[in-house]
Amino acid sequence: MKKCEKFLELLSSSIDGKTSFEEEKILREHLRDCEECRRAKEELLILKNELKKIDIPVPERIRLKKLQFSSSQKFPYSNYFAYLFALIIFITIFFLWQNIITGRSTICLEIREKAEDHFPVIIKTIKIKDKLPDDFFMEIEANFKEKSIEMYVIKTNYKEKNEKILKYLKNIEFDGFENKKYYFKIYKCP
Amino acid sequence: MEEKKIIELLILKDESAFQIFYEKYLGFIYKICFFMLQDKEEAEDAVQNVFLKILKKINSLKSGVSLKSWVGSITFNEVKNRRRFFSRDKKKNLNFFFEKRDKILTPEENLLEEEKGKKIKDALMSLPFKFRIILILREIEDLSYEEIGKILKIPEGTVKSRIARARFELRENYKEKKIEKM
Repeated sequence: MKKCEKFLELLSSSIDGKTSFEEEKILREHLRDCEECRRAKEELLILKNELKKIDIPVPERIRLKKLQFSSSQKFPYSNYFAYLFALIIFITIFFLWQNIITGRSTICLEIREKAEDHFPVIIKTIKIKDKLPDDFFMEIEANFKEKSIEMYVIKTNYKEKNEKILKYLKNIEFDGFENKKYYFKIYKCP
Repeated sequence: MEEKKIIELLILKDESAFQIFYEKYLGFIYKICFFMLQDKEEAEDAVQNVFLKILKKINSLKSGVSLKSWVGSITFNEVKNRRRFFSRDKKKNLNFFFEKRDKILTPEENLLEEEKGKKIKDALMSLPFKFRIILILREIEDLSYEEIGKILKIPEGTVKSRIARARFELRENYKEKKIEKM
């Protein structure tokens, strides 16, 4: 159809009724002598007809979405602030929970052979799930026996914490200690 | 409701005007998105985006502009932008074409029509982007050359020549599908 190239656009425009009187005349004369172009015109008309038959149904969920869509559109930015506010509240509660309600502290345990000794035999740090005040301290006499350790609280400024601290101490492994009395000094690590 | 009235009410964010507008243009927007993106889910997503953009831009709508051309233009830009970010010429199994029928067919006629429908669909989907969009607007949406020019932002002369080229390429694709089938 190389020789007919200049007529192809005319053919297409003619199908849409977009040719002038003169153009239509030229095309008609050409079609009289060109079987290929006549066939092309027929086929284009068939294809045009086939395309017109194509239909795409809109999915139901898009039709249904319209109600949510239109009601949310009136306040397009309020959702963002609501989410931001909720996020801030959540973070605040989380930190409160971590630091005040549950809380964690690290306590330092100095073990001396005698209370008046300057230097401890050993220093341990223990992480506990409890919020202790900064000035917390405790002094314990620990009696190491063959199979057990007996602990007595000598001094403390927070009696209510006694039981908890002793529980933690009982879980520590004290290896290499002789069967005798030791002195524990416990405080909140700086 | 008159087009001018719909626009006025849309600017005022009138709910009932929006419902009317939504129902009127949903099919038009969806078809363009579906054919051009060739993916049902992406098309649905694109439709949502188009309506959002329409609401944002409604104040900028100039008087005298055809609402359909304006909506078509926003839709075209949406599919064009999505095409940049997603793989081009995605060919998925899109088995939800329905055909408009004027009469009841016999089973044999039905089968023939279905085959023809599938062939034309495949031939259309195989066209390059710029040919596919122009045939959708012309043949399926029945828009004028002028309206198509406004949507695609091309002169009417270019619309004319591009439709011609698109039709002939569609014809070639259709013939190839016929030969493949044989």
